[in-house]
Amino acid sequence: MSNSLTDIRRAERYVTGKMAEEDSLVFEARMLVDPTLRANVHFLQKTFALLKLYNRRKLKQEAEAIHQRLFNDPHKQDYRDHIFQLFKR
Amino acid sequence: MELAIDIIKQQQLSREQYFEHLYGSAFPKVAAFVSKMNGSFDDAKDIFQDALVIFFEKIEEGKVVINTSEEAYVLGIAKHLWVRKYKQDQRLVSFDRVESGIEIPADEVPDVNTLRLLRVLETAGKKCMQLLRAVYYEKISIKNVTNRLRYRNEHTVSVQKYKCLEKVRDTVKSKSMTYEQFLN
Repeated sequence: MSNSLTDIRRAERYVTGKMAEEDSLVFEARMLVDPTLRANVHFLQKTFALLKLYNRRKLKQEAEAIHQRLFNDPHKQDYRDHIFQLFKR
Repeated sequence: MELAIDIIKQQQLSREQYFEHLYGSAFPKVAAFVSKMNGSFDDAKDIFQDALVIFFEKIEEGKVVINTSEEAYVLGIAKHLWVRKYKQDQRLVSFDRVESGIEIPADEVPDVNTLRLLRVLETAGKKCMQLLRAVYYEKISIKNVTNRLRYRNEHTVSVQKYKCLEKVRDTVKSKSMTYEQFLN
């Protein structure tokens, strides 16, 4: 296994909170003296924050697909009428 | 109280079925609220879908104890989103006790740079984003990810997961630096 793979595995465990407390302390000590590692961990945290947003977007797309289906299904006429009724002014 | 999510989990129904269920039970409530606030059908749709996503995320993270019905909880989230989106005076919207206790994630409205970065990742890093979402958010087993995303075998997926984390991290790193320079 390459060094970079070992590093990313370790950083992943740290960022996702899967690392034992003792190991976390060692890891944090390494970060203090290693600016590259510190930057990598920072950007990995940012990666997970972005993944969360990506996941939300995908979920919203799934909701939109259901919306399209419900609002085009001939059997859902009553449901639609009920909703549209609310916006009649 | 028996919640639909528990039934869904017991019977191993899909997320799609759960969303559809909530569309039936909660969307009419959210639409009634939005209409009362003089919003449009499209406003209702947008607010409801965002509320649904936040609700589902809270359930998945195990952060929420629902001591009311699911549709009431979704409506509560939608009310908060409405106030935030239209910067409306909170007093114009009536929150009950359970609703006032609901918290909306702070990163619900990302800044411009974050959105730009997200677009880059959605296009240039699509395959990696799909894989990482499946593993970390959909919590699909490595075996099922292998089949669904058509990887050769489970070992490939395990290695690829880390390669993707590295790849996305490096994109985030280089793009963040570019944007920061651009701002300075």
